[in-house]
Amino acid sequence: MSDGKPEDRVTASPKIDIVVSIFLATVSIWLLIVTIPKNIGQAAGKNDISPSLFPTLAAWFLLGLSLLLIAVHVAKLRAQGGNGSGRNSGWIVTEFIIWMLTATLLYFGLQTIGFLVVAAVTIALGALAAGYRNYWMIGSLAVVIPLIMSQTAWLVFQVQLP
Amino acid sequence: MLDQLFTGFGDAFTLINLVYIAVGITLGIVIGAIPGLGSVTALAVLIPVSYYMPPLSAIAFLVGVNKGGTSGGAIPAILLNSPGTPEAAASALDGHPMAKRGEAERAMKFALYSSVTGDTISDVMLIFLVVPVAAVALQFGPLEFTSVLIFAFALLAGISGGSLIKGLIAIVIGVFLSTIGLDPMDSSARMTFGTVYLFDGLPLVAVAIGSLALAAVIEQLFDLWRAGGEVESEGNANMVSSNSKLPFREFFSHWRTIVRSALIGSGIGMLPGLGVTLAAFLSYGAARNASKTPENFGKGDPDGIIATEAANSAVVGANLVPTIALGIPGNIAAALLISAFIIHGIVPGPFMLTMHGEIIYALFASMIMANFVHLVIGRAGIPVWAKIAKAPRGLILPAVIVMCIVGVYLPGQSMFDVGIMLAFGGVGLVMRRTGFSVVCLVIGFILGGMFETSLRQSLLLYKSDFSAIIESPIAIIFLALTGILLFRAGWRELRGAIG
Repeated sequence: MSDGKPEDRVTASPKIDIVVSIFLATVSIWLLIVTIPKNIGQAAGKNDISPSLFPTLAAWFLLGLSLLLIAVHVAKLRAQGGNGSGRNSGWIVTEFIIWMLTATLLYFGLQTIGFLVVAAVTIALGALAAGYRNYWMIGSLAVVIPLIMSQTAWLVFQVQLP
Repeated sequence: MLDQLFTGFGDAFTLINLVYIAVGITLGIVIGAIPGLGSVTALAVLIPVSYYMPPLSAIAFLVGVNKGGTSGGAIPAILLNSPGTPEAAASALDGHPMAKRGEAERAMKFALYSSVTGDTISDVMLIFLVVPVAAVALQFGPLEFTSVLIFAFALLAGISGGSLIKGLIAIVIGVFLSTIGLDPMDSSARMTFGTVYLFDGLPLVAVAIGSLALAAVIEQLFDLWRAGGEVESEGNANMVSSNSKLPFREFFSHWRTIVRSALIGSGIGMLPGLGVTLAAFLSYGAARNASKTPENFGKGDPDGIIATEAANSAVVGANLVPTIALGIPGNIAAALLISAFIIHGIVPGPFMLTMHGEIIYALFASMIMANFVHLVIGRAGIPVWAKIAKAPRGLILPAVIVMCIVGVYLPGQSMFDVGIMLAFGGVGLVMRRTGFSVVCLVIGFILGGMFETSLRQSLLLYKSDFSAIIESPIAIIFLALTGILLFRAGWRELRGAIG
C-alpha cells in the first residue's frame, strides 16, 4: 500500500536513513529513560499489568528497529563503497523547519488575528510560493474562499471560526 | 440475511440519504480529480463534516466520498497523463493515449463504467462474505485477536513501500502514540504532561488529516516552489474529442476483463494491508497476459483502463469485509472509515453485526445505491470533472490547507486539535520525504488501542504464560504466517542492502 506519489519511496538515500535512524534511536532511549518512567504510573495491584508495559514495549521495539535500520544501511553504504546516492538530509530539515515556522505563525495568527485574514494570507502566499502568477485569480480566491468557509461553518454548523 | 438487506434498503432509501450519497460522490470525484489529492485526502478532509450527520447518513456520505474519490483519480490520469495517486498510474498508460487520439470522453466513460461495475461486484461479495467471516471472528478470543493484529501489522509493513523495517517503525510509532491518554484499564494518566487535552489521547482526526492530507499538500507545495511553478505539459493541451460514444453493449463486450479485474480487486481488498495500487497493477498485468493483443497495451487499449478501474474500485467494497468482520481495516480508506464508525458510536469488529445490524445492512444498501448515483453523477459531470482536473495546483493546494484547518476545528472547536494537525503535517512531510509510510503510522495509531487491550487481556487471562499459544490453532496459524512474511520481506531487504 502506498500513500502518495510513486516517487515517494526513492527520495531517501542510505545516509538520510542512517541520520533518521540515529534520531529515532535517540528518541526511543529518551522515552525509555525519561518520558515513560516520569509520566506513567505503576500497576495498582500486584496482579495487575502495569500501564507502562505497552508503551515500554513499543519504545523497545522502536529502539531495536532503529538500530537494525542503521545496520542495514551501513551495510548498504559499504556495498556502495561509501558513496550513498541521493541528496543529504539538509533539505529535509530545511523543509521541516520552514513548515514548522509556518505552522507556528498559522497557529498564533488564528488565535490573535482570526481565521479570515490568516486564511486569505495563506491562500495568497501559498499560491505565490507555488509559482502561480495570475494575481487577479489569487486575490479573488483569497477573499472568496475564507468568506464562504466561515459563512458555511456558521450557517450550516453553527460554529464560529476563530 | 435477505430480509435484513431489504429492511436495510427501506432504512437507507430516503431522500436525505440519497442527497448525502450524491454530495459525497460529487465531492469525492472533485477532490479525487485534482492531481495529487485523491480519495484518502478527500476522506480525511470530509470526515469532520460527517460529525453533524446521523450515523447512517454519515457513513453513506463517506462511502460515497471514497467511491467518488477512487474513480475521480482516473480523470487527471486520462486527460493530463498526471496520475495524482499511484493506483491511477495504470489508468494513464492506456487512458492518455486514447485521449490523445481524440477519445478522451470515451476513455473517461470506460473508466467510470468499469469503476461502477467493479464496485458493484465487490459490494455483492461483501454482503455475502461478511457474515461468514464475522461468524468465524466471533470464535476469536483476545489471544487470537492479538495474533491477527500482529499478522495485519506484518502484512502492512511488508508491502507498505520499499522497506519492511521502515514500515514496522512507522507502525510502532503509531502504536506508541495511541498509548498517550488515560489507560484503558485503570484510567491512570499516561504521558498527558498535565494537560487535560491529552486525557482522551491524541485527536484521531487531527492526526489523520495532518499526516495524510496536509503533509501531501505541503510536500507538493515544496515541490512546486522548488520547480518554480507548474510546468505546462503536452498533456495539458486541449484535446479535441472526435469519438465520445460508448454504448453499454460495447462496454460489456469486455466482460471477461471486468469480472477478472473485479475479482482480483475484491480478493486483494479483503486482505488487510494490501492496497488499491497493488490491485490496479496486478489486474493490469493479468489483463495484458490474458489479451490476444498484448502489444496494444500502453497504446490506448480500453482493456487497460477497464482492468485498472474495475480492480481499484472493487477494493472499496471488499476492504470492508475485514473492517466489519474483524475491526481491522483493509486499507487506509477503510481505516479512516473505522475512525468515522468510532466517532458515531459504532465499534467495528465481529459484534458490529449483532449490535448495529440495522445500520450495517442499511450501509450495504447505501453502497449499492451509491453505485447507481455514482454512475449518474459521474456520467453527467464528465465535462465539469475535466475542467477541475485542469485547474492549477498552485491555486488549489493552499486552499486545501485552509480546508484542513476548518475540517479539524469544526467538530471540537479546539485550537489544540488544529495545533496537533499542523504538527503532524510536519511529521508526515518528513516521513514522506524519508520513505516512511504515513499509512502505517495512521493504521498503527488507529489499531493501537485494540492491540493493547487484546494483548493485556491475553496476558491477564493466561497469566503471562506464553505456552497458551500452543492451545490456539488460529493463533499458531497467524503467528506462523507472520513469521513467514517477516522472514521473506526481511531476507529480500537484507539481500538488497548487501547487493
